[in-house]
Amino acid sequence: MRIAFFALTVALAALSLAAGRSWLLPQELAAALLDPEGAGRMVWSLRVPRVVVGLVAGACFGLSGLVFQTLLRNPLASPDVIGVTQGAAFGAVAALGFGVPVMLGAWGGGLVAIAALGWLAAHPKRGIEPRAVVLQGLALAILAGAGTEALILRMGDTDAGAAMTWLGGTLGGTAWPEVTRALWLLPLTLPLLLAGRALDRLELGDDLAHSLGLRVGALRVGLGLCAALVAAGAVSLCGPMSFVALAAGPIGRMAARGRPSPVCAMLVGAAFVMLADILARSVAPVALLPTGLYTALIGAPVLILTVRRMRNRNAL
Amino acid sequence: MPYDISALSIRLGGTPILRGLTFALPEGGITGIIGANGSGKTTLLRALAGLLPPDGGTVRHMGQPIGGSARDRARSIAMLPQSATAPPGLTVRQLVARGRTPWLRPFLPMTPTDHAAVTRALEAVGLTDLAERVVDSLSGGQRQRAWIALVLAQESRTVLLDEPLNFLDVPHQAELVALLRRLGLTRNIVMILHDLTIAARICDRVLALRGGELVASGAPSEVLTPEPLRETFGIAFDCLTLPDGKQTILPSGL
Repeated sequence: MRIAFFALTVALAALSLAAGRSWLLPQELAAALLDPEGAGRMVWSLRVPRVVVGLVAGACFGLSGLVFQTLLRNPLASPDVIGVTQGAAFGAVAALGFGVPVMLGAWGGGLVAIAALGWLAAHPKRGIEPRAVVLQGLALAILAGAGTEALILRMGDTDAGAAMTWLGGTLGGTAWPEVTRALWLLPLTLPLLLAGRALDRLELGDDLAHSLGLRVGALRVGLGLCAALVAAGAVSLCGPMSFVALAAGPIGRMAARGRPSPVCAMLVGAAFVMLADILARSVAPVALLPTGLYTALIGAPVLILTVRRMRNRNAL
Repeated sequence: MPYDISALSIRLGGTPILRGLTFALPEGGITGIIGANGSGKTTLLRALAGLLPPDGGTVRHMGQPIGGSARDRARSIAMLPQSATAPPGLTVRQLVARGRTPWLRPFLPMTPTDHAAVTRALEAVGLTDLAERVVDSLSGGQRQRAWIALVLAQESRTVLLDEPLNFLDVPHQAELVALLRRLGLTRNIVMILHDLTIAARICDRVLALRGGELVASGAPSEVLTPEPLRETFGIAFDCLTLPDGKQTILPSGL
């Protein structure tokens, strides 16, 4: 299953390199990739960065979605529901205004959001209550969203238009500097990738996980901060791409026979963004609808199905 | 000496839950914790597991304060909380294998030793035939035995159980009691019990809590008698001794 998802992701990435206003045949794509200076100039300067950044951002969203959903024991608790993504978007937009690097702004916003949530949701007697976390996170998300809107309203028309597109989640205008930033994010995913066993044990409940020798509190804080940085970093690359994190968790789980597998969630997230970006560039190439629109179009039905499954399991 | 507790106090969210408990448990056998709801039983069990750091006093396990390496602690103390829930889709064998966590090397799969421990645990609770079944599909009694097998696979000297007999029908209770009695021969078991008759029959020692204080402790023949029970629960009890010497305990009002 893991191999199937890996193959799917690679295939979609190749398709994405070929996709666009002018579709490339396989042999044309191969020729272009082999000749960065000549025939491949367009592919190398536009499509390669776009695909690399899309893969990294999708993988980061998927990974962070799975980690939050598992840590908070709630399939709805993805970073875009509990306010981390919105906090990061607020930070990124504010950073633009102050001339601070966008990634730093996004990280700052994401960290403030997760710290606020951790402080609000921790209960001295009962630990973290999944339902309370989601409701409080939703409130934080709305608050951060309102803040972002206020910032955008104070911008000029051109900037505001660009900001609105970015807020929908877009890979348009991606170039090599974004690739460098994307690669900076990869080390941060490492602790989460290695946390598969810990996430699996945390699903048995905090007390049992503790009894099995896990440092539950430290893991929760460490993995939570790491997942927030990863999600916020992805926001700084392509904006708050909706539904990727939310949907990648449950689908990645299905791919891993119900177990929380970080690798599967990463692959699903990356494949999801690739698919949405291919659609964005081929369905209505002239209108240039943002990639985030298509992730929402695919993701919304997935959310509905997830809720149905939860209800069938009496988990809601 | 598995446990040596002195002046243990614990507060949760500012409220004192345990107030200056002092007791020691000798090696082996079954220790029962009894008390009304809210008397601090679960808090005491969690403190014995090292889950709650004491606000006052000390908890020593095998002569050492609990703490240090979480892994080492998990190899000597296992706790089965009441709230344990199996993730959907897990088979019995997979669930029981989770008990090997403190023995696994980082990032490496289970060794033959681990598999053997899982097999032994499944045998001990009589679930060998159901090992490949999904946990959700089991009956309540089978599921409870699967959880106990998980704790057994952990191979810790001390086993803490929070109301292991809850939600089981009478035959399953009897079956589990027999299992626990066998386990008490080789491990130190500390468990929370509601049924005083069962406590009288399987416990080697009983700790009685009221309002976070230890009101009585000792052999069942001393603690499970009308006076200490009245002090623990605030109501009168009939303690009958059957002709074969076994105890039966019921509230007098019944």
